Amino acid sequence: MRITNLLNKPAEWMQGGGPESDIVISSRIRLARNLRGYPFPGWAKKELRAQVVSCIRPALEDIPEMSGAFAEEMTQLSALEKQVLVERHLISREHAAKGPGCAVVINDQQSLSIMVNEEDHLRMQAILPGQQLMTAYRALDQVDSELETRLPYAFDPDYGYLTCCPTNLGTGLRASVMLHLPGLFLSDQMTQTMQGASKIGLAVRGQYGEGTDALANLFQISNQNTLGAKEEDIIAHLERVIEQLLRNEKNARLKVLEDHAAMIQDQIGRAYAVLKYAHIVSSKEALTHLSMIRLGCDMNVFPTEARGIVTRLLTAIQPAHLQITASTKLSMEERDVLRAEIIQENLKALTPPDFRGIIQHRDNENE
Amino acid sequence: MDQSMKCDNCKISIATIFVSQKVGDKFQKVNLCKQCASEKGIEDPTAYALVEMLEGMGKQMIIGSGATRDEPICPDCGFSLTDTKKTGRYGCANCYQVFRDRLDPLLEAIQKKTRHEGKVPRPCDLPLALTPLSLENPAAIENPEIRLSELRQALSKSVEGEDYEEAARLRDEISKVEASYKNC
Repeated sequence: MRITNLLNKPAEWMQGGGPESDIVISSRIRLARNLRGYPFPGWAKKELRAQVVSCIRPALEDIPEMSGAFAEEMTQLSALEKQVLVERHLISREHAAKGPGCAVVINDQQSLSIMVNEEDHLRMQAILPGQQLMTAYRALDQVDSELETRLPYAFDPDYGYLTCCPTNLGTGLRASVMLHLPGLFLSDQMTQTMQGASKIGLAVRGQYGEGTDALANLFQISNQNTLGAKEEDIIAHLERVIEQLLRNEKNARLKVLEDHAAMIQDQIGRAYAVLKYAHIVSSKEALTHLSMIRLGCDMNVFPTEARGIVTRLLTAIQPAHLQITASTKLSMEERDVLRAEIIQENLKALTPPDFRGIIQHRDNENE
Repeated sequence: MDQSMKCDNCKISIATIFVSQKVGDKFQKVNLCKQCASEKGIEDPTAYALVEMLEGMGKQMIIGSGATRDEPICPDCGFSLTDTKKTGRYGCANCYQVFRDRLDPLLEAIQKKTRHEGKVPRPCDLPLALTPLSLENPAAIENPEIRLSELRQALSKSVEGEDYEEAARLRDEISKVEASYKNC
């Protein structure tokens, strides 16, 4: 597959859908693996990194799951192309900055992506829309099992898969979901939620992982420990916490509706007005309002079908995606104009907010 | 004063800076006095990191640069204990053998549990055609793990008995065995 084909086709997860898709945007599984006999990528000389790539690439291209995959050295990709892959969560920001001897392999649906020589020799990922952690794990486990007969994995019976950083030791597994939590955010329960999660070995972060802000009320939640539990148990634990979080979020939304119905109406109404009629929209402004439109879909203020469009826009309006759409480099001002155009175009069919449901809810409360 | 403590360059002053550098497939250790190190422009390890960065090598650093003389060094990749502490990471899979003693307390702190419970890969009986770190040392010892544990016991005994000459010999022997062990 060529890079242009890949860039012009949205990733499967960006289309939305999947179980619990009103709150769960996407599910990701990552496995870290290394080869015996080579230093880890961060300290390996260019020649050794190149050897690792030449060892891993044929093995990857040989397995059925990756047939017809896109495979390229990082040095062959432009800064813009790499940024698109980051915005789609197919590679890490760290990997985008890598030099010679590093590569990426991505399957046709963009549900499987494999970074070669990121922090470990292999960082493999499966990403699917909605809550599909176990399905994503099964898909990636299959790839891993195919590879283990083709590559000499660094494995120790006591410590499991050996990784560059001991925080990934054992299973090398990181399971994470991206959640849309406007209810918890608007009812000031996010800090509490984050603290609670960290107490039970989970991390809550912003949209693009470590050190990024939570824009659009999107939060990533993932396991911190990788050693001492079976893969399925790590995932099952996270799934139980997600179920609880979904209940909390739904309750928080009801509570916000009860206590601050006018505020919710105002925020959704403003979001509609700005996104439908503004001509210059910054990334942050767009994400904030898209979050409110999405909440509106969940509250039947807008038709539910609009949710898919909003989910797609969350990625489509990011800087690199805009420039790929325009097929040219754009200044920040130009991007803000194009962003507004694209949003208007996509929301053309969106009917004005219908608050009857919310008002009725409020009136019932008052009686 | 032990001969090996003298500067490898001037052979007069006492060496205070110890550099491990990878040359081809081998690790070369150089002991330098402050003045010679300064003249060679390698006194400051961060200066190296800067050169590496300029060459686009990113994170790469001179491994072993922070090593004190008697700490263990991974014979495969040259990572020292100091390097693992400094980076919070390991140099290669074999480091987990070399620094094994120190691993459990670390894992208790960062992972809570210390033993793997998950997936075990099927044995990969592929010949390790691409093992650049071990080309000189095909597995020559029949059961290196037993041999290693014997050597380690002897080493701690000789240290207890303050027989440092014997300890140094044993340490070198252990490094040699470990170097041939990594692909078993």
